[in-house]
Amino acid sequence: MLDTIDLDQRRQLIERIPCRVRVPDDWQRSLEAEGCAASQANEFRAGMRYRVVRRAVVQLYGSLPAFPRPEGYTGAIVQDFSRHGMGVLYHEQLFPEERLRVLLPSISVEATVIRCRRVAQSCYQLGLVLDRDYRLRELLA
Amino acid sequence: MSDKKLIPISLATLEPSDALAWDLYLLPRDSNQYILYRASNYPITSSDLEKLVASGITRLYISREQRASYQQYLRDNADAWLNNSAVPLPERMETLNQVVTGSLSESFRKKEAVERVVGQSSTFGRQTAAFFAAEPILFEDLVRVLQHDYTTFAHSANVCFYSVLLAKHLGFSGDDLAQIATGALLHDLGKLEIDPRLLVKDNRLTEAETREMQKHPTLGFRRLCRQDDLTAAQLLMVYQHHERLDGGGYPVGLTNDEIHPWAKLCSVVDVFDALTSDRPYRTAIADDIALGIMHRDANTAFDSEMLTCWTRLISTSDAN
Repeated sequence: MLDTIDLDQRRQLIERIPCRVRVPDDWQRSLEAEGCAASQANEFRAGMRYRVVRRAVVQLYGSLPAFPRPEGYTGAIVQDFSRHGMGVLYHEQLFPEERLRVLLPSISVEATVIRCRRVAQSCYQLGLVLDRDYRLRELLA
Repeated sequence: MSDKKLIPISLATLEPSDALAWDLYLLPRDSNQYILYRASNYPITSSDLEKLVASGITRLYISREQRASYQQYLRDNADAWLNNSAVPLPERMETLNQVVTGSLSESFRKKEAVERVVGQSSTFGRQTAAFFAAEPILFEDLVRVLQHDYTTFAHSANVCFYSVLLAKHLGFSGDDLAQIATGALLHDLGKLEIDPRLLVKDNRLTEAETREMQKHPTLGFRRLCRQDDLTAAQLLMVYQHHERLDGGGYPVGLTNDEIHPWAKLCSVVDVFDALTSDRPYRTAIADDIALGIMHRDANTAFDSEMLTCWTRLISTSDAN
């Protein structure tokens, strides 16, 4: 579905769909920095993360039997990438194993939620594992 | 037959039958010699059972090796012995605890398929809820029959019984009680994927080990979340039972109203059982001290209404 949307349509969709994430003030600054993200000693990450902030649109398509989700698109903020994963700020809690499609200006990627942490009201940090490995330049283009 | 090879079983759990799968032994009064009462595959009638009861016998004995077969028999006939009002309540509770703990232990150790674990837990949840709804169970009776050595399955069974007791006193309906019981039995399922050495470690966990241990709600949720016979509320008992009202819990760091009420309930009894059971790294704490510790966290970790209700239940029993 989304794969058939071309670059211009994708950009229009990202501009048009409202983002309901409310980023707390003390997080705004961390969203301004771009570049390689330093890992915390306790994170045990497999690959390097690249911090880059992008508006995105999310489509949930693989909801869990007990947690049905409405169809449609919602705005989100991509926070960082690695080859296998992505950090996204979302306005509500998602559960591990939920499937979603993240639509960026450059590309649409499919992913699974592996963790979700509450940052503030209407701001949840999702850890996603991507369905396949991506080159950073594919995601950043 | 040596007494070390025999285990007692409650006479009340036996149904008249054409054949039982085990030899039954008897320990006559004023004797320490077990005698064969009824060989396996030989019928036992209701008249036989009545005569035993009339002569004051409440227990028979079977070979330890036949324990698994007896456990299966108990599971198959649970509705009959659970509803047998001629049997004293504590005895029925004790048997229920043995059956649930024994079955969970078996399923968890064998790492059975998740569908089977859920199916079995649902059956026990329904039976536990029906039993608790029908009988005026006191905390002191319940606590006397529970096992308090720490193992994941004994803890899960205890949390199940405590959850149903608390939910009943909070006014939850019968259907809810059955679902709560099942959710409570499954609440620590994720621990099956945690290194067993961490679960029994006898000194403080390192930071890395603590983080590893804290994965268990997510691991349990991931294992169960595609089961269409579990409700959202049951899954949230698994996923949210370590959340705190002040947002300091895990895995998400949710606050007050974002935490499902059943998860809040599970959190109260989970911590209470953890504190009042023998753990590898400390001995059990007395009920009143455990409650004192928990009340320091009322409204920051625990829902104060639920904690108050739980405290009242325990205090009433202590007073009795």
